[in-house]
Amino acid sequence: MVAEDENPELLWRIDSWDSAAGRAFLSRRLPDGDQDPQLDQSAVFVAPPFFQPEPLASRAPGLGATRGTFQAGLFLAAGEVGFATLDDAIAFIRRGYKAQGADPFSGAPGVRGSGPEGRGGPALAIRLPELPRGPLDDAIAGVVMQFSKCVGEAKLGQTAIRVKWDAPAPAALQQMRGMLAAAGQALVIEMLECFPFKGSTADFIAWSAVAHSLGMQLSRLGLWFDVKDAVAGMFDPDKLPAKVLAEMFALGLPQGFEKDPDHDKPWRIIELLFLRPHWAPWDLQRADGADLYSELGRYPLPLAMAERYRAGGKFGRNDPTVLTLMSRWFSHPAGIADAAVLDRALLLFGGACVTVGALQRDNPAYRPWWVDQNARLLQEFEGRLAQDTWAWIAAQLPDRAFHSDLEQLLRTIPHVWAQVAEAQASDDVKRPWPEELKDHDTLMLENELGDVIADLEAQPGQADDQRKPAAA
Amino acid sequence: MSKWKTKVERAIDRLTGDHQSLRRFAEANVAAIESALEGKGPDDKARDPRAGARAVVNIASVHVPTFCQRSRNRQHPAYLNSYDLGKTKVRVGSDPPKDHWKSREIVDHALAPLHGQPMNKVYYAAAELNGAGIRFYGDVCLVLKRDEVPPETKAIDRNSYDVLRAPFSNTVEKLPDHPRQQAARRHILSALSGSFDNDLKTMGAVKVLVTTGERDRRFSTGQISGGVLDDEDYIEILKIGSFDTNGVEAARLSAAEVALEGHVEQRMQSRHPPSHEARQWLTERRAATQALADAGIDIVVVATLGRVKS
Repeated sequence: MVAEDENPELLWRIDSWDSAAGRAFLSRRLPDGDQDPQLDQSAVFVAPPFFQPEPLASRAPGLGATRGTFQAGLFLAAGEVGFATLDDAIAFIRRGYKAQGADPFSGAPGVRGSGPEGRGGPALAIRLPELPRGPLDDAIAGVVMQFSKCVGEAKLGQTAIRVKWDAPAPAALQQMRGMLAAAGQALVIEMLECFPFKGSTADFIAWSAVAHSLGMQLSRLGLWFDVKDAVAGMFDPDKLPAKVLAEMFALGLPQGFEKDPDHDKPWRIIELLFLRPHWAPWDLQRADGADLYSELGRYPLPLAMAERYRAGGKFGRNDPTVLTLMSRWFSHPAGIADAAVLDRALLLFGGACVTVGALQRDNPAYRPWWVDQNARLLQEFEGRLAQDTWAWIAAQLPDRAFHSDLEQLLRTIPHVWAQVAEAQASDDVKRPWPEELKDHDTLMLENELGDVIADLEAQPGQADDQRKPAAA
Repeated sequence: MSKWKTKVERAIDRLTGDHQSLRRFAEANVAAIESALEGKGPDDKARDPRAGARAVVNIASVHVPTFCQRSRNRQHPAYLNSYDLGKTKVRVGSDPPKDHWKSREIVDHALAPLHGQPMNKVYYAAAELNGAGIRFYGDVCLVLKRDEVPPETKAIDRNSYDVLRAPFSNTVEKLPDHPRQQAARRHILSALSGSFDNDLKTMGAVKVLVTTGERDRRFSTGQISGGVLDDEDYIEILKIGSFDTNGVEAARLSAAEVALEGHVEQRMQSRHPPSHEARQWLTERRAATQALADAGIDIVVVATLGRVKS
């Protein structure tokens, strides 16, 4: 007979789990099997934001949670999932939470459609920039491959394999500015294609809030001028002259735009759509960092890559955003099929948006006004931003690899929860009620449990001593 | 005399024995607990409609926008229980093997004669006075309007899963077969139950008295509130039927969680940005409060349990 502590089946298991909310009750036990679960053993509760384990006296609160949004247990075809350590179990819950990502938001704005004379939308015919692979991208792809290798080696029921996300060489990090600019360019193009060409003023207001937020982010990152000029240069003046562009985007341009000295320059149209009217240097130092995620949760991913991040198939109504992409990478980086250079560039873009605020608060010399006018400061800024961005991203990526079956489960979480929006009332569950307790069994119960379960309801005319339970 | 009146008398007997002065304190404290749960202040004769015990449901922030959206779209049920989620297959991983994990069915089945409805019609809530509910189940505590909970709604003086714990389980398992065990569980849960309108206040008095023990001091409102729902020890409400945002009187947030928000926000202003999941959590909290405000629901931060306010 195996001593319980040596039993390989004695593992940390999930009693109940709300994977979208990151809340879980865990206990170290053998699989429950077909017997009633033993509730009288200690359990642990974890929840965001810090997932610190909190001991509980019993498993009862955890099982009680299964009447709401918590699922009972976690199973694979092979049986109930177990983790070798509490740290592994918590890491899994944490990664499940991150997988869910951007669902609180209404998603990306705008409706993809054409404008006057069938132009606009996809008919803008702007091709996404070609992104050549470079040393930084190779380095990121390399560490993801290393993670995938660890997933292949991990075993169910054994300690997960720890992974480190080593920083790319300094020379490789110098490539980050180019990748950030390419990501910014792709996002601006996507926003242009989502412009409400035939929409109402309300549609434009919704679109412009996101466009101006993106413009400001690009400014903070010191990328605005590069991105604006690069996108403007992509319009073919023979097919889409500035005058036609102005007609297409008229909803977002000031009246009398034709009198603007630069009205015949595409960059001027882009500037007015994304930044100029709201250019306020004092606003570039973000006062409220909490809004950042709601902004990243509204930058739509380029159409060509969006489908691999969309949750829920027919239920997935929200278009994937930069925040969706970040969430997927931080949850299950090895499970993103066909991830390419632009995916990794957008991951860096999201990370840079997070870290740039701290950098610019740390020293005013890193703020746009200086960086845009001083090449040496810009170089220094880019170096610091690249280091800080990778350091932050590496800290968010998984610190351990699970067996591929568990990694696969993490991928399913957003799809599972996308269905809730369409959930319907359950069918009635009717079963014959349990019978009334027979007298001799009642007596046994009352003898053992006393007052707490005695039927103390007074009957008219019944003497008090007749109501008392039998003495234990 | 009702079952719960008898129970509270016996609790006083056990706690005070022959000490008449302790008995007087206990009786005065029971009156105070009952008044508080009824919504009367310490010296008030009339019931304040804004005060008193309520049925509350805790929900995680991430689910609040969907609840509000389903309410807005008149999708029924707006608030989902496990049976609704099960029908939609909201489950990560495989289904449990056929004979596993029957505990919920065991308890729900034993409760069925109490409420007389199909098991899936019950939406579990907790009784709460001034606190923020059962935080484990969600960081947002939805306080249901009084008229969402009919007077005859059943309450159990503890988590009904306790029927599967010792000492109940040890006794029940002495019975040889499942039908007799279920009959015993039904009997136990019936003995632990009462009605929301008539019995809850006395049920709460027994709970607070028993957990606090003998004393020659009067309870404060905060102590009463803390005793009615103390962490994982609560009074369960078997609400029949779901509800939507129109049935919610207010949403309560605990001061502890609001302090965590402040901590994460502070990290945002520091040299070391907070983690992705901390930002995600904060963003979900904001989206939740925004959705609740859009639905016209007041948001209250529970700074102290002594507040008599919903």
